[in-house]
Amino acid sequence: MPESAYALTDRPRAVDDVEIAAFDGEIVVFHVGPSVVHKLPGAIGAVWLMCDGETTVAELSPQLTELFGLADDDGTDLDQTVHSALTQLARNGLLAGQGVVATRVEDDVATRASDGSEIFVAPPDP
Amino acid sequence: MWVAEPIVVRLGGRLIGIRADTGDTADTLRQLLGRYLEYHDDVSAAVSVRCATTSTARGRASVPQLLLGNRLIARSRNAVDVLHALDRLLAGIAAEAEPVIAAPRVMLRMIAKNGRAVLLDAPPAAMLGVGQLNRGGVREIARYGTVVDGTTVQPDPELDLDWAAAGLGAPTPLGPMTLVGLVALEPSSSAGSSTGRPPQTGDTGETPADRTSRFAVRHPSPEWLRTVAHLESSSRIAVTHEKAAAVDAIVGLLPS
Repeated sequence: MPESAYALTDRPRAVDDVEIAAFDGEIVVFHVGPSVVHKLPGAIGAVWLMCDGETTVAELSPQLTELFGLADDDGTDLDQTVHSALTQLARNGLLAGQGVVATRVEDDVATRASDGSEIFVAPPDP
Repeated sequence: MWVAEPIVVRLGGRLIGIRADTGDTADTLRQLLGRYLEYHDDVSAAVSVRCATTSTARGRASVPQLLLGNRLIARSRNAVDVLHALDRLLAGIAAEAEPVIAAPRVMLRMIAKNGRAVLLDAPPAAMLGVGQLNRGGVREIARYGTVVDGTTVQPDPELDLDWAAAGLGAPTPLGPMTLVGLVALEPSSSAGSSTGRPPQTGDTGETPADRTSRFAVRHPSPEWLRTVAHLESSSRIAVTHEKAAAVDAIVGLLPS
């Protein structure tokens, strides 16, 4: 088992303030707190879906195989895939208790006239 | 190029500076916007209105147009069309400040026909095959983004502009429309797929998740993601590099 921030007995839990859309092995997640959209490909999405706070890290690999048909492939170790996925999910704030790294900060572009009224400023092009 | 002092109106609690290309245009704007006018000398223009048609040194005509910042919102040979677009733009800005419903305002261009709408993600200056669209009874409706409630495109509350004082006809009010699809015109310089999947004919090779996330990021809200995911599941999202393909997609989503 490769080294990672997670022990085999840890029970990672996905954040729950999300809206999810799933398509053919990929998941699009809107994380409400930081207002960020994530696209989770293949195994990362599968790992994230299994992070229910009860399943241990050690149980994730067998469940990936059982539920999603994923297996060691082309020299890629499934345990390594799980730990890599957990690291990326935590880094992006999608696991509870890991904090949120990728936050969206709204720029305060409001300016004021001399009487205190807000002046509308044209938004930048997307 | 522009009349020196912008006209200032108060809408939705905010001050909006509007500059005009000529004194005549400024007079027309003052007639239209009379009840909203205020006088401030520290408000710069966010909106620009050109009603005159001018010729450049190369003999090309510069037609009436409406700009938000540097973004082209509307362009037409008929200046009244531009003023109608100004009406809708200002209504949207006012409604954004004091929204009537808690639904996302998505900054995408709106193409409509017979009560149905397609939202277009394309550079503001990218003019599609206007002739082909118009022949099919399809038209772009310039406005300040689009409020989407589920799959219903909501109109903004109308302003009380004085069209009679300006000697002009008021625009036809917009009613609710059904959102039937999303189309993106992707600049060809970024052609190619990051998914490894070979592109299909006429598209960019994006996966459903690619298309969904592309549009979902245009407004950060669960409601908008649900709307986008619904449209993707119904095969009502198209992404293309070609203007002609974008027009075909729009026409296909807005059949007669």
